Amino acid sequence: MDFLTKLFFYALIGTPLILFVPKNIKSYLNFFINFFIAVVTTCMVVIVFKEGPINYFLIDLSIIGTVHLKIDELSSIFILVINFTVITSSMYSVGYLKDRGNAGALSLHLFSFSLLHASMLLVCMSQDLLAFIVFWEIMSLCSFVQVIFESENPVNIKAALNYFIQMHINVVMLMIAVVWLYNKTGMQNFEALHFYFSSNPNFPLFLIFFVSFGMKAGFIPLHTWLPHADPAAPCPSAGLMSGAMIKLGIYGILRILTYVETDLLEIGIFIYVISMLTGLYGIIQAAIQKDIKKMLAYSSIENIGIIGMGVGLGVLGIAQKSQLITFMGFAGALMHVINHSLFKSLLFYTAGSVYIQTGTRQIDRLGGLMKRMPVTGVLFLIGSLAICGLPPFNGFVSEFLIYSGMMGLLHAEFSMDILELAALISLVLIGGMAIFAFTRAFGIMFLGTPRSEEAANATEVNTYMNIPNIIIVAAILAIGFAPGFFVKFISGAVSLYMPFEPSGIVIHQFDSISKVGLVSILFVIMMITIYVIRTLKVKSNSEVYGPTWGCGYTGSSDKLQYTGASYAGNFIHLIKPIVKVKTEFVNFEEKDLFPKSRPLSTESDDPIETKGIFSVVKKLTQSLSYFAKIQDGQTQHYILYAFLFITIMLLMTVFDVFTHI
Amino acid sequence: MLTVVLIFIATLFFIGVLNKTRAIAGGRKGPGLTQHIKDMLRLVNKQTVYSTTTSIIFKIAPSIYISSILMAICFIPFGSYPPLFSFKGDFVFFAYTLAFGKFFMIISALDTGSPFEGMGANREALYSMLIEPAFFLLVASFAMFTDHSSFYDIYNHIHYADDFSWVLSVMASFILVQIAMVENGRLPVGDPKTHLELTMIHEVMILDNSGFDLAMILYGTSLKFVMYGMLICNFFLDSTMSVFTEIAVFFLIQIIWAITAGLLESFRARERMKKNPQFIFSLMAISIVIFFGILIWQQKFQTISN
Repeated sequence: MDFLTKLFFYALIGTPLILFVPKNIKSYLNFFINFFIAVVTTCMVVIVFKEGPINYFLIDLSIIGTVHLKIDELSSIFILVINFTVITSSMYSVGYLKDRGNAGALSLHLFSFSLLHASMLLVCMSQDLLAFIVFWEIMSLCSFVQVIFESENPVNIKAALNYFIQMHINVVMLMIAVVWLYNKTGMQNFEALHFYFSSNPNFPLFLIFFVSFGMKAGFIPLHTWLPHADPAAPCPSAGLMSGAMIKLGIYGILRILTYVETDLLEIGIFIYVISMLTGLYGIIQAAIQKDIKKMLAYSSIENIGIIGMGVGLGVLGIAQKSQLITFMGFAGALMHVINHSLFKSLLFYTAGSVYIQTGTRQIDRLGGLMKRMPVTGVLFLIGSLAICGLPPFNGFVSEFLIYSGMMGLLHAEFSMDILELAALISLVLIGGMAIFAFTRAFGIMFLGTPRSEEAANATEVNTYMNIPNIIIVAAILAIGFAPGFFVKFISGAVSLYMPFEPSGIVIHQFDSISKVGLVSILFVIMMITIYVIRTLKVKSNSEVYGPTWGCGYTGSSDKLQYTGASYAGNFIHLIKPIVKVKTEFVNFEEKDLFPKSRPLSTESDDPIETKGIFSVVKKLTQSLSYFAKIQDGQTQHYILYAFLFITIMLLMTVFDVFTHI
Repeated sequence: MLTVVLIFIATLFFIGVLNKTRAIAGGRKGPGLTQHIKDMLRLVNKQTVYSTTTSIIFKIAPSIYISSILMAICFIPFGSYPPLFSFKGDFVFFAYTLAFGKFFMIISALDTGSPFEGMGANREALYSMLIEPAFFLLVASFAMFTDHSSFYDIYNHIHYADDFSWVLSVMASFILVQIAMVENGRLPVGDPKTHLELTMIHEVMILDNSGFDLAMILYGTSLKFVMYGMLICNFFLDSTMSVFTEIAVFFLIQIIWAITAGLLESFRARERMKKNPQFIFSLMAISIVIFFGILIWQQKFQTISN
């Protein structure tokens, strides 16, 4: 072990300290430990970028034996994403968790937070599949602890259990894949994949891995845990889970893809189509949610879809032997991994600030916060613009890369063109619906007049709570203004998928990516110039303030404003075949002369969950319930079972059945 | 640079011609050709009134809206004259920049807290989302046709192949006309002149804007019309033409486009709001037809039957 790994493990040994220090400094200690781990592992990554992949061997760990850790270009990117998100998340949680939870819950929460950080890093480094599963499991358990932090709410417990069970189905799938691999090759590290894929059909094993990793990432129809777990977790953890943890599912898929040799076309089409559906489904659901955190969770699913489209495009590029498509696809996917970790954590943190100050996550109960929480409002707006993929922010860079790759695929054969047609429509619609969803979220939450007491009395959060958010915004703008630098930075990882050096056509694309940055800067300068001219002119003309134009109606317009539900109204009408929104409202009767206040509620469901998962679970429970009849609780019957068992055993021995088997 | 200058000149009369056409079709005399510019100049010098509900968003949105349109214009070439910025895939930047402006107009409408403006904001968000695929498919079809992916390269390689490109150009012009009508909230999706807020899209979003801001928004509408006119015009410019012929063609097409828009506004009925998505989807369907038309032309269907 070299110096850096030693430091890493010393820090890990230090994590239990969190359990013993006084309550008010727990989250500070948590931040320092995570910061320390992040600095150490970032140093490792710097070495990788300078000198190429590095290997570490941890000798004779008690259960799993010797573990081979390796950091290469692909893991480096994910390590950086994890470190950045963890630093901002633990920094934000200092303020967020200040008056929350009792000492015990807080200890457990923060201890598992540090452990989650370490296990995520180790997942990215591990080369042995057995150790990989162990770290993966630690990661799932730690994030489970994150979800049950606010355990006084039964909804959160249910969400956490849902998450717990689904994550174990995911581990089982991973184990099946590893056992299969071990059975065929006798090896249990990633190199085994190399031997397996060179002599066997690639698609079936890939599919098992995809189901496992895809469940973590949130591809439909395996996403159903995410919209429950994210809202249940406290905002810093939700930001970390959506920003970094689900990306490890993408990491797994990308890692497996480095070894895949044949069936590339099938795998590419499979990932591409699943991702399109994931993106569309995610954003359709996001546009109609009432709970801001649930909306952000669905938007994570949408973004996983965009990342998946990049990955699928890259694989199709390898299949088509086109460097351009391969580069653009994988670069777009990796870039979007980075971008999404930035703006999604930003959105979760700012939504958390709103939740702290107002005590509600319901979009329809907010409003007018832009005046009451201006800094949070601007930060949320930047996050929304970035997540919609609008220039000059970072989301545009990754979407631009994926669009460029798609343009390359248009020149392939007919079947690819048809696929491309579907992909283009999907990505454009995803972009459009993202704008719909985020204008709704921002507009209803932060603009207009307050729709409730809580929103009217809200005040800005402490300035230091916004420090992590401002750091994220700086990163968002950096990527938006200098995309060329960042694309070069990830091209090392992309070259893992390209058998030879990037040729002129790819380098030519760098040119257009750098131009995107330049044009973005000019765009910002232009907006500022026009705004300054306008302000000077308006000031010289004098300004007056008055009420909003009400078409003759002069009463209070708080209740007349558009709400989240009414904004989504015509959209809900459009998506009726896919998602049904139930409205509960008792209409006026004929004899009602004077209207009384009456409740109106709308409820949307996730058809994949209710029609798919629940019906399977229901059938399973029904068939298992037959066995419940045996367990009737009467002692006599249990004695009878034991007696029958012994009799059967005896008979089988007498007739010598065992030797025949 | 030539594009920007020409577009600025064309904005001086475009809305005038459109309104004149509508007036004549309606049996009225109508205002002069530059009345809309005079209106804007009047607004520029007027006092600005803000609603007390609004925040900073409301003040910055019109400036951002007009910047986004100006930025988008910088990507459009004029015949063989390159635009200010051109790179592979610049049409994505073009469309997303416009979307950036729209984003701000939508939230600025929600900023007023008015039910009418919320209605407009919601419609704008929905229709611009639905219209986007038609535009992207159109450009992608031409990218496939010409093997290039920037506006400048696409327009300059379009007529190299054979006369089939003229058929495509006419179809593309049809779609661009319809997209421009939808993007500007005109008939058949919305009616700016009904004096009933419930049937408007754009006009109902800007009820609270006044003075300089309103002037910028109105000018933005002119710019958007002329910008789509420029996109159409480029289909019919040939590199063999001289500069003066090209400029003549440009103004001719802008005038035809303004008259067409005026006639469409006069003789078309407005759809029910609920039916609008269907209309917009039909535009996407025509884009798909172009896409398949190019596939047939490139004889890619045959590779399957073989």
